[in-house]
Amino acid sequence: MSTVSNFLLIFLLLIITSLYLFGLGNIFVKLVFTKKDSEENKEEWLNSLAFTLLSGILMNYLLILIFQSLRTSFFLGLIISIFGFFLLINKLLNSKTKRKIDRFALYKLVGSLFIVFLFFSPIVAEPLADWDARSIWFFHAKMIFSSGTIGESAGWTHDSVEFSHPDYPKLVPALAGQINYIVGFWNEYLPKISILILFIPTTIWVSTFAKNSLSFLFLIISIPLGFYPWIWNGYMDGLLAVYVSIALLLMGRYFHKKQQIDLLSGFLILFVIMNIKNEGILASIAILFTFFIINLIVNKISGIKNYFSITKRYFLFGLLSLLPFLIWNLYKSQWGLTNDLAIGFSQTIQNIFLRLQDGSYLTILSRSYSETGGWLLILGLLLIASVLRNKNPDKAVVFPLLSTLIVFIGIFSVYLLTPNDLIWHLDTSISRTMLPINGGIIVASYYLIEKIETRVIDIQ
Amino acid sequence: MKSKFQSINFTSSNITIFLLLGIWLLILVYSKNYVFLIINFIFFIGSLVIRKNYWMFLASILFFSMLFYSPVLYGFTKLVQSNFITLSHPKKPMRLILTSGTGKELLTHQVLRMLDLMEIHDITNYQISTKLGEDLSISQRITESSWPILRENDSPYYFLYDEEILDFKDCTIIDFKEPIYLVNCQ
Repeated sequence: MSTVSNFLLIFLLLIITSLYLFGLGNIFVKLVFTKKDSEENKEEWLNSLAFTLLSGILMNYLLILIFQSLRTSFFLGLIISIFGFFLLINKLLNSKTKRKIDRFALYKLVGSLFIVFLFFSPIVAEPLADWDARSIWFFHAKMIFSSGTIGESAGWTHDSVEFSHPDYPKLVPALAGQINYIVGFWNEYLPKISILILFIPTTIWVSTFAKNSLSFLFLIISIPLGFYPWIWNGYMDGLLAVYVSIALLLMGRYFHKKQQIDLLSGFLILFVIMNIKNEGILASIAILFTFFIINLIVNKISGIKNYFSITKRYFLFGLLSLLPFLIWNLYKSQWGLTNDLAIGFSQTIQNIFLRLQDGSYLTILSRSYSETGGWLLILGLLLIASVLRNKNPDKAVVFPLLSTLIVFIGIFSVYLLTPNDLIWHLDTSISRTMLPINGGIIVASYYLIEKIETRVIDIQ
Repeated sequence: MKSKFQSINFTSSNITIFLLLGIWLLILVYSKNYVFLIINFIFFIGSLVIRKNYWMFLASILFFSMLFYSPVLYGFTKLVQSNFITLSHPKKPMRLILTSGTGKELLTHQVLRMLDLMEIHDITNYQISTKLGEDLSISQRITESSWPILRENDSPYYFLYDEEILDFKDCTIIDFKEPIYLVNCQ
């Protein structure tokens, strides 16, 4: 086949997969949100587009987990997805209000798809080469692909795969395995298209922040490129860091604009990252905790009441989004898959005290600093600027910083308790585990620049 | 400069930021990171002195820090390089993405030999010798690249280095591909 037809085939595969996921996501959106919600979010269609696509990714994973068989879950998913499109078309045809196409939003969408195109080459045109990508994430995808199931018969309990941490979350491996299963073959390139698909909603969300400003330029450069090379080498750390950053960005914007879609998108991302990597659970808990604490301090009792009403209203949303995580954990306990860090309470406490006494904690701190120093420098400079310009950081700045601090404490604790050799553990992971921390610092810096630049523009 | 100092409101929030900056500067002194200290100092003085075009000053310092003290520049270079290579010679990557079994060339030669031997002799399960197993870049790579052909503890088929052949003298040699032997120990 010619190069052009090959390119068109890959392009078609990307489009069809995205449409399939979008259709699935649309059913999820219809199940969870009322017509009133949709009307409220109408103006934010780009945000809704990213939300629907990510919902589709999560729902597809849920179907794979429930039915285990790739064949059954795909055909059922396809029927649901087609029904989702039918509902969307029906809604568009029956819409009484005349819709105006927002040109600026369209440009934003084109821009975000262009960024996805730029990342096609480093992600898909380069084969799986790095250690964890081959030994863990895409090995799991290959196991799912070759057995046609995510169930126990994929081989999770086989002695020879113990090194591969078969207990790790399976969102990306399941999608990669599914795509290759449908296409009908395995190689070391195509499975990485799953990373690109997960990258699409993040670029759309970043584009919703687009404006002619220094802050946006900073954001669009730092969010993908600041996580080099972990976005395209097949590790999940880059993807996790990007999603953590986007969740913090969206929830930060919620503090400013009070748009419901931002809050819901942020929550959806928190549910998704729990299924990308185990560190995602820590990040989700830290972000949720900080979000509620800040809101309770600011809104006091009325805030608590408000949250209870939100909880009731979006109970189905939360439950459906949490289901994949719960099901995978149920399977793990059924199949006896345990984490390599689970070493027992007394040994854990002993390790922590030992490392606090022998000064190992200083090694952890110093190695962490060496990975985050550059972004801390930028944050420090912006804090100086904000003080000198009398622009106090607001909730949107404090929120990512506090969340990040909690995530850091969690990661620091994991290093304290690790049963592995600490130096080896740091050498092989610190550059990756600090990525969500860098993401939080980038988001805080973004909101600081946004504040400072409005002040500077005011003065000028 | 004096008036700029006087214009700072010493609110609790600003005092907190001053404290944080103090801690940050202490970390820089403790870690002997004098370059960062100088950048902070230049920025502080610049922020007090520069009134016109402060926005440009801020942007310059920020992008200088981003380019030299974050992975952004490496990321950008890699992005451009990868796109340049793919767009200059699109035929190869497009073909490789859509062809079964491609991308194995990154595996070590020992693993590639074992995969060849498995294919030639239609092996359905195997074991590897202790010496091959000690090297993680061989043991992990062969496990994942040969999947769904499994490493089984009761398999009669062994892969071993040529120097280990004397340890397997009771087994039948099936094939040899430098430096790997495939033997049957049934």
